[in-house]
Amino acid sequence: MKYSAKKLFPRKLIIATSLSLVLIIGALTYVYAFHGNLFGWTTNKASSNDGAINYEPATPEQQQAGTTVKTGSSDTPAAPTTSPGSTLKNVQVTITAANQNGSTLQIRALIGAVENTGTCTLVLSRSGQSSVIKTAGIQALSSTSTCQGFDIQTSELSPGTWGALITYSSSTLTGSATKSITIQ
Amino acid sequence: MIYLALFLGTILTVSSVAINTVYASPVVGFNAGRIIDDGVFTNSFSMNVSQIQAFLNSKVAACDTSGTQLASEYGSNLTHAQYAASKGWPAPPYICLKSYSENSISAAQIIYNISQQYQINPQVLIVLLQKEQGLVTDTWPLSTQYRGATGYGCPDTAPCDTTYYGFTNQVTWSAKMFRAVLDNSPTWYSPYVLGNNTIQWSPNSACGGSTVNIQNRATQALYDYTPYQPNQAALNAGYGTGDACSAYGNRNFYLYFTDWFGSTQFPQPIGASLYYQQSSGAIYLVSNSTKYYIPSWQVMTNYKLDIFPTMPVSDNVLSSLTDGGSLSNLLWDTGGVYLVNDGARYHVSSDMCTAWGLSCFDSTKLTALSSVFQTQYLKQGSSLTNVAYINGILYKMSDGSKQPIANPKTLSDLGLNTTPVFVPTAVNAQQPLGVLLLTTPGVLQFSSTSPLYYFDGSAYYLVQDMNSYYDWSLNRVANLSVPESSYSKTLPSSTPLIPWVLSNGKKYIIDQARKVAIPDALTTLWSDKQFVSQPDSLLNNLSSDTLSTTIWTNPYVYYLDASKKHHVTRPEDFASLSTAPSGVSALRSDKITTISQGTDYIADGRLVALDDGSGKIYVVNNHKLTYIPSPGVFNAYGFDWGSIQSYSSTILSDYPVDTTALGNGASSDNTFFITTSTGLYQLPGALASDFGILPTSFNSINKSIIKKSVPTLTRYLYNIDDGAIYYASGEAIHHVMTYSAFRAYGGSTQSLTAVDSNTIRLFTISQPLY
Repeated sequence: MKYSAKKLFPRKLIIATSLSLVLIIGALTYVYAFHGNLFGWTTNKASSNDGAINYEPATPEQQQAGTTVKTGSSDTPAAPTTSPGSTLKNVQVTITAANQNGSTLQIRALIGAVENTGTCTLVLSRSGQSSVIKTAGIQALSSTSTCQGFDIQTSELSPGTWGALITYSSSTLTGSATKSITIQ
Repeated sequence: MIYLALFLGTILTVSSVAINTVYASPVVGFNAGRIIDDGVFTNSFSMNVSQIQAFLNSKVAACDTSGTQLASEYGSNLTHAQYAASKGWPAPPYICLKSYSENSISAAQIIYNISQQYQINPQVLIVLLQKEQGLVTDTWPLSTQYRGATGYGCPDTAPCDTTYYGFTNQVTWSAKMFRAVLDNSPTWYSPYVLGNNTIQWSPNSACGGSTVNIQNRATQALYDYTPYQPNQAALNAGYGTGDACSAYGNRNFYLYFTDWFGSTQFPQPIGASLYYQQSSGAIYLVSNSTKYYIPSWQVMTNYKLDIFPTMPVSDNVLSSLTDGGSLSNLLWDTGGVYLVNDGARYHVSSDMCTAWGLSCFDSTKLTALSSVFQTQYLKQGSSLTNVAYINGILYKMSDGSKQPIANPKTLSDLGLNTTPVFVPTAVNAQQPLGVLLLTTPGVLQFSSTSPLYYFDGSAYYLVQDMNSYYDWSLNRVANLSVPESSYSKTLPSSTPLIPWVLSNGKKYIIDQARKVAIPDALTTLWSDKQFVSQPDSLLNNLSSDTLSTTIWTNPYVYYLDASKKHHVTRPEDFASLSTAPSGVSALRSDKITTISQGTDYIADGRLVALDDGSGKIYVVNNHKLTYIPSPGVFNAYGFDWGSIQSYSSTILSDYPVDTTALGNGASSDNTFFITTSTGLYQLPGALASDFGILPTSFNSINKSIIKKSVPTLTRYLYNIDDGAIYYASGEAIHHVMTYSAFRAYGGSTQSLTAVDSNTIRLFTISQPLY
């Protein structure tokens, strides 16, 4: 009996194609679940060097990461912005540390520009108490600056909650930040 | 065919999808509060110039100096040179970092020089160049990338071109800044402190941040440089892009460093750090913000700190720490006092303090280190016991000295425990040597130059010389080999072994492995000696002997009397000597040196002529000189005229002249000897009483002086002087008057002895016989 090749051909093709599709989908799912570790092959970063120097060529990710910073790292503060009605631009000021260490209160601030002349003013206030005011200069860092201070003796403050205000001003920039501090 | 194609196609697709998917793997091990340890950050010895150069060479195989390669990394079909022109970037040539130089100094050399100048790990500077400008992997760096190589910003008022811009300036400013933070320099201000800080995720303050407890200065230095921490999206992305609030500087520092140079962690003991003061070379253990000076390498190894690297620090860093003094091996905490030994701590009781001689009650000798260090770094040993094992020898620690235990039997006799055995390190084993602990008897020396001793199990006896050694048969006693003790320098108290022994009331001489009993008669010879008791354990080893009056002291033979020793010189003297009870006694000469020496021994029976010119001849009889009154007596006794020997009158002191001359004599066995004109006759005692003998006229003689056989008197005596015949019987002699009486008393059959009148007078004369 002679079977029709034309009839059989399409059905087998459909079955074969469906099977292939199932396999492809399964593989993709596997790859997604196991992050590309197929049969142990991996494109992960190089294994531990035990302190030895790695003389292998750079990996694609390393090259890609290098290209990203070719024209400068994105990890730089945003440029200071102009304030309407002011000749000074606004710079970001952050209070980065406010810790009581024994009898010393350490307050630190970050200024979002590289400056080496300017003034930081710290005002510690508490209702019903006289404010404590300290001033300090500015120290330039690699991409930011910091106030040259502040270490305050807690004997100058009474226990309780104080408000700390740091303002910065130079010939071109100004900025401020506040933080609540509890004195033991 | 088509199915095969489909099948292969599927496999290929699946594989390529899997392998070629650059699927980012999240960052592992990033700790925001401790990105890199100070010890790794400041290891300026990590690479030399050749290694730096080789490293840079390895990261850029082919440099696109002319900019002719396609800018495919930007998804562009332009060449690098064309792409740069389109962006307004500098034109070629593009010099890669491996080939870059400034002022004729290579980039590798510049990096190395600056790392040495500021004591910063050159690997940190390499990572910085990559993280800020991608300079390590860039195949076509722009000149502007070298101008701001480390992204170190220039303040507006400064002369940027000369002092901030350029490769050397950039790397220098970065290293200088790092060093200032590490040294906690008083002229450097940092926006961060050790402790809690608010650190933003990104330059966009609206993204916020979190509190980070910065644990060390190197981490603080990284945040001073790049004041942002990676958020979770950044960490999940590996080297890749996170989200709108992500910043990548510190993440990438960590990734590049660990991928290229290994761990950012610097191993240190748990709960403490090891600092090396660069100005003096001193090493400190730092714990709870207190520095403890490590006084010697032995203390270092005792704490097992020698396995850790030390971190070079400046004087400024050290001066900010509380001074805890010198690190001692004694620690304390609420649980009491502990001795540190080989990386473990051992509780020390008050008794053990005394036994080990430890200064447990001197607060200047005790250290209190952090609880974590004491309980987690140091192993917890058992309580300290008083037995220590040092260089193969067990010691009992007692009152600050170490007393060596001579052998296993002593150890068990003393009831000492060796489970567990404590092995002190050299630094804990400095106690002076104590006395030797010994319970087993034997012969020993305390050093190669000390005298020999015999130990009986509880006391020491000094062996004074080799004579004593052999006298006491010590060569058959166990030889003990003992460890060195204080006895090597200061000998123990002991009793000397002497050869004069008093045992159970009897006196003995110890001579040549024998216990020689001294007969009572001879004890006066050693009246100058003190006889004492000596160890039974030695006495029982010796064979027993009794001293005879004849002794052999090589090469001489002596005869001993109650006061003197007499040399025996002639064979004829020797033959008559008594050797009772068990032969000639040997005695070494040292035993008789104090006995005065008398006249040479002259045996009884020897014939002596003195040199006094008298011509008198004597016979030695019972140790006296007995005068021989006539040749008749001389011959009667059978003496040999050729045996007379001449002696000096000095012998009279030991051999005095007898009061009576030689004549009739009686020997000690009650035999009578009678001299008559016809010769010498003997009369045994029992017979003599039948003769009615009158003993008064008989002097004592030593029978052995008679040198011939002596006939016995018969009962019938014939007096040659008057022809009378006597018959002895019934305790008298009777004149036999008639022949018939002669016949009646058996005179014809019995023999007659011819005697003289002197002989007849020796007997009791009773009634005549008719």
